[in-house]
Amino acid sequence: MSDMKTSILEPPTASELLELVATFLSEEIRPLIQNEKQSFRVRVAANLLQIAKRELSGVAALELDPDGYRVTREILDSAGSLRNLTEELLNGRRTVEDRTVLEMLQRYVNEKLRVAAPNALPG
Amino acid sequence: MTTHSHIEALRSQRAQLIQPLLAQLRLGGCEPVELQLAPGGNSRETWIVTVGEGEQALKLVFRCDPDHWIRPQEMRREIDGLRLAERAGVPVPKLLLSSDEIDLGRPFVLTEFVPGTSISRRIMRGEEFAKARKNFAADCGRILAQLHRATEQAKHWPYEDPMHELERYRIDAAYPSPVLAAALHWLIAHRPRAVNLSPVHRDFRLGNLMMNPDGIVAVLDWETCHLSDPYEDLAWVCARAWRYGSDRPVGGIGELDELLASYAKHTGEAIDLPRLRWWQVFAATRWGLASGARPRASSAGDAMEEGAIARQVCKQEQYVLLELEAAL
Repeated sequence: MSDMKTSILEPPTASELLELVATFLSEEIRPLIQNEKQSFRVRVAANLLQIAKRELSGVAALELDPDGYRVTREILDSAGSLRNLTEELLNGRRTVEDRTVLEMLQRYVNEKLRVAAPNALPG
Repeated sequence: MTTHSHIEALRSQRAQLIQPLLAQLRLGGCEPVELQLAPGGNSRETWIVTVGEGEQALKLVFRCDPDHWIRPQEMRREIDGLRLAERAGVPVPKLLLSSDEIDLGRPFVLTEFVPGTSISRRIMRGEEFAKARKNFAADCGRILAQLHRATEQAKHWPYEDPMHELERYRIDAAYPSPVLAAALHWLIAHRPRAVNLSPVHRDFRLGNLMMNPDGIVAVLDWETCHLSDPYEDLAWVCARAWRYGSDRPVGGIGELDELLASYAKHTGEAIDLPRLRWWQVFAATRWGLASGARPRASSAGDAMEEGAIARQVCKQEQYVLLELEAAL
């Protein structure tokens, strides 16, 4: 999959670099670490690089809102921005008792999960 | 400073710091004294102190705040929680000394060492923990009932309206979450009738439970305990965030009906399911908001772990939506 900004400076691409470092940490560095806490942190570091890689690779269908948050197109169309939608839900102008609101939120969360925790995606 | 030399410097400082405690326990002349930093927990330093060697060696646990984050109120909670729990028959490490008795210039507790493990992965998968897993949900119900019945001893404990706590978290949040905002509105609109307050642990879950193959041998980390609706603890131990990927609702190990039957048996009260459901939404929302709080770490490793938690708020949002959907 190509990077979000598809230009290639020189191969490997930025997301490929992240993948290389993450794999190196997991496969060659972590087994050398005896300290349990530091070993866990190397696993966290590798996982964060994978998150950055997926974000760069554009795996989520998200677009920039006016405040710089990445949201689904339907949130942009429906509320204009993440901040607006959050305000409306906090004030009760919209509620999750409206099934369409609940489902819109589920789709938004699923797109973020594609980047941060694809194993947690439903189904 | 490298991580290794940082830990060595800290070890040496803490070894100095605990000398008056060893003297108070008449262990002052015993050699050697070794300190080992226990893994986990960025908000607290936990040192396993071994005094003497061989079969005569005595193990203790010294807990204090890290230099960059001294929190006297939380340690106050820890001390009060350990004392109440012991008197109530809740398994805890025996409190030997604390900053109530000796001034070390920072709050601390010194407790007995309880052998076992609190590592969730080991408890959830290890063959040796099969019996402990089988009884886990019922054990949680019994222990929580023991704690929640100790109301007489908790009269001086603090109380904060739980929704005020969430509002504080929301104001401090680093990003506007529509999911957590929706949950906050739902929680306010559907708040259950007030009940008599009980002493609650508020972080009763795998990771804070020391276990051996027979079951739970000590409930750890009392720094958030206070007065609340006792269902807050029942909901917290069932929160999806603490199931570690398992489908089983009680800590990823046990079944809900076993927990509730045991709790009802030991409190003598029937379970109010709608009230429990509200607290389950509350638990997911509380952890979602806490996960997204602004970072406060001092070291690079702490900051990275906080970043990892913050970056996965979407997982907590998913859990909040699942709890809301079940409650609608």
